[in-house]
Amino acid sequence: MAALQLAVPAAMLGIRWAQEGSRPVSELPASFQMYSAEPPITYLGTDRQGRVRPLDVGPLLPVLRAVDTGRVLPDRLCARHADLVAVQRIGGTQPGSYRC
Amino acid sequence: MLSADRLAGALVLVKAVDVVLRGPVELPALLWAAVLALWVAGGLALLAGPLRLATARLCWAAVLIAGAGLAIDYPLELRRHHLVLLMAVALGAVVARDVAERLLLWRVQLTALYAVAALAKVNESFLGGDVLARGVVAAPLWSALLPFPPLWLLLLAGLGLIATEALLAVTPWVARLRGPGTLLAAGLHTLALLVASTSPLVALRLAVFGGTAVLLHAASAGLLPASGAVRAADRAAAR
Repeated sequence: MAALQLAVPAAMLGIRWAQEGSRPVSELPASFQMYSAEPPITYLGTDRQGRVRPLDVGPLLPVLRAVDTGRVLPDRLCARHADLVAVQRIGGTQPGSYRC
Repeated sequence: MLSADRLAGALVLVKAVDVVLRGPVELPALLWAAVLALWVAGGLALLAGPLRLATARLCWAAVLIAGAGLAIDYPLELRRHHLVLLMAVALGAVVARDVAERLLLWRVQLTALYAVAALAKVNESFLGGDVLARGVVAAPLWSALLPFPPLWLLLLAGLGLIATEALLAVTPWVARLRGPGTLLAAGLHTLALLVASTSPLVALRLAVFGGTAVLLHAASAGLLPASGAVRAADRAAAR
């Protein structure tokens, strides 16, 4: 019984890591993974010609690339892509457009 | 006399309010009513105690079977940790042969709950503050009374929460930490109730979850007898 109590949530945690990695978007059943997942957030960059392209936050620091509040991430994306004039955040707690 | 059985009975009845408000989803109405009746009967019998361990085991079995029925009626229930926790507690009470074994299984449940909850939060989304930020934005109490917290506070709060849950996974196994652990758990779950309640139903579910967790801590610490009729045995088992 005790082994079952430990094994089920541990297995669920392992399955989620295998499926969703370090940016989980779901909470699996019978797992006690409450308040640990977040819907994905998309960043779009606008360059001087007005062209819009999706931005990859992967190269940023692991913790910082998850931050979806304030200017932390837009500022870093602007610094990384010198041709951008604006970064747009879609989803998260503070969606919106940020000028570089 | 207050006991873990009685308190659990009250929590089962609180959860029944949630079930009634939702109504039947997958099950035929008659079967759903039977499941609800079994759930309420189990809760009432536990609340009415004090019960001998064997009688309490029957009531917990009713709660366990009805809980499975609720999960079938509404598959999302299995993603709701309060019902899963109540069912796990019921399972421990059903299979335990005596008070000492019941307390052992409940302690294992506490460790499984908090250790996995802490480990599940060790990810970019949580450590980066997003999950807490979303909770704060959604929480009517916070957004009405307090400003949006700065990033450093979100990051510190995230680390603090993980550390607290990791500690609560350990306290049931260290005799001198069981009492403080119960207080810490009560504080943590009260805070969650205040901050994360986005609607009355969410508040009700958080109360059931937090109440069940604190009940387990209190029983583990010997502050609450595990079953009303066996207080002396509880004290001996808690040592």
